[in-house]
Amino acid sequence: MNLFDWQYAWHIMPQLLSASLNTLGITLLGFVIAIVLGLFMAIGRRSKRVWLSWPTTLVIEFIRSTPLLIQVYFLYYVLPNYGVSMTAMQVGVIGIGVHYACYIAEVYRGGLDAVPRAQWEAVTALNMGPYIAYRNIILPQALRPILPPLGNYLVAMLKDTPVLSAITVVEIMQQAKNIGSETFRYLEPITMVGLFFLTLSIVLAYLVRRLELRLELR
Amino acid sequence: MPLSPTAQPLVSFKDVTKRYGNLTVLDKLNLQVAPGEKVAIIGPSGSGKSTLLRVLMTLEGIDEGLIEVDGESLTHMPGRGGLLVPANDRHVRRVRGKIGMVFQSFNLFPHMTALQNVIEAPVHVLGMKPAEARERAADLLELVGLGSKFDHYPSQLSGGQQQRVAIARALAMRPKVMLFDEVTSALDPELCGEVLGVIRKLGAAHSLTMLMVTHQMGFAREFADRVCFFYKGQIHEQGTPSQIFENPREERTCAFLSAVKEAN
Repeated sequence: MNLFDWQYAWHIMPQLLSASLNTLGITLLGFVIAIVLGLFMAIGRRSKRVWLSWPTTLVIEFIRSTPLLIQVYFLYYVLPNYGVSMTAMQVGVIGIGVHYACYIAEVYRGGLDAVPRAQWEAVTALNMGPYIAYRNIILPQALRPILPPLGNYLVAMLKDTPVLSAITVVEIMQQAKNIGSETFRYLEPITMVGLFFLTLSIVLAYLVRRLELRLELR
Repeated sequence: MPLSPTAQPLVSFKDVTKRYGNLTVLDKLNLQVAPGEKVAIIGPSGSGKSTLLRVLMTLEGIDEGLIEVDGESLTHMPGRGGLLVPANDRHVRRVRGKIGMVFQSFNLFPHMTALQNVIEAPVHVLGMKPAEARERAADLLELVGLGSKFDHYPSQLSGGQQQRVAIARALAMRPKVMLFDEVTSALDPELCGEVLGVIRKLGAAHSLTMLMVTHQMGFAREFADRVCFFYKGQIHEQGTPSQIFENPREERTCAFLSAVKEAN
């Protein structure tokens, strides 16, 4: 039976940590893309203008119905044939960001639908324009109940980053595989990666809960 | 008191028709409201009373007819060569700005205090400076008797208090016409009085034109300049309060008024 080699684990820690920064960076950047793009997609989907709502719906449904892996493969290996070439990291961030934007758009849509129609009528009666109406009246009411699902998606994105190793993004899982394949000792790197994800998921979930509580107190 | 009948009407409905599928809710409605006039609209439920206010507030569209506010059409604007073309957003917003509405379910912004509710639209729509808006909001809230409730959230206010904030909020936009859509129907009887009192105060002090859909017959009788009895999407009968309440001519009007009397 192989015992856990602590010295070895300590030895490979720096490499894993630097790759973990990539994982974190991709997750956070991707999440920012997802929550911003997702909001526009949700508003577009709910729009009364058919030329906006139909294409938006199509895009959302298409991206939600295909695996992330296939999407990033397509972006990284197929698009260069048509002149669009990006680095693996760029593809990774954009790919995961857009993918989750479509899921988050549906979460926003639920939140927006839950705002009582009466609020929209009040906004019209006060002659408020759409930008101010969304920013000051509708979104603050729409966002509060959907913070838990948004937090879930943040954690889900974090755990989906290893998918990007398929397009050579050196995130923490890829790094662990590289280290393991050099020394043929996989136990330590994989265990440490597992611990990394566990710790980070717990920390993120805790932070999201803190944010929910803070906004509830208002 | 309203101005002379020859003055241009502030609000004008000409043959306005609105349908929901097969149901005609407003049926070739004609109504002229003079500046400063207080009109009470009474009638059975489903007769289209609220719809009248809602189409005026542009919450719903109309299928036929013309609505004019202060001489300008709500749905059309002058285009090239003097022809009427469908109004663009800017025109609609400009005309809509002359109308204010208070709803049955108050519709206050729950995540803002009373004061914030009242300053929100003036600051962001009228472009008022926040300090000026705050001062004006404070005056309005004092006017409706809520001087001590500036920092309360709607959830901390009673129904009557919320409705009074809603009135202050609508007034803050300086409308020429105020629409009241059954504003006391959702209130406990003992809270109606405070809201009706505020409306009475407004009517006395300002030359505000008011259209009120109400079930409060007593209030309509003593406050309104004109009472319109609505039935099946049309004004079945209209006249001064004493004409309608004491000498109704139409059968349906009599039936409705006696039914209301029964209920009370």
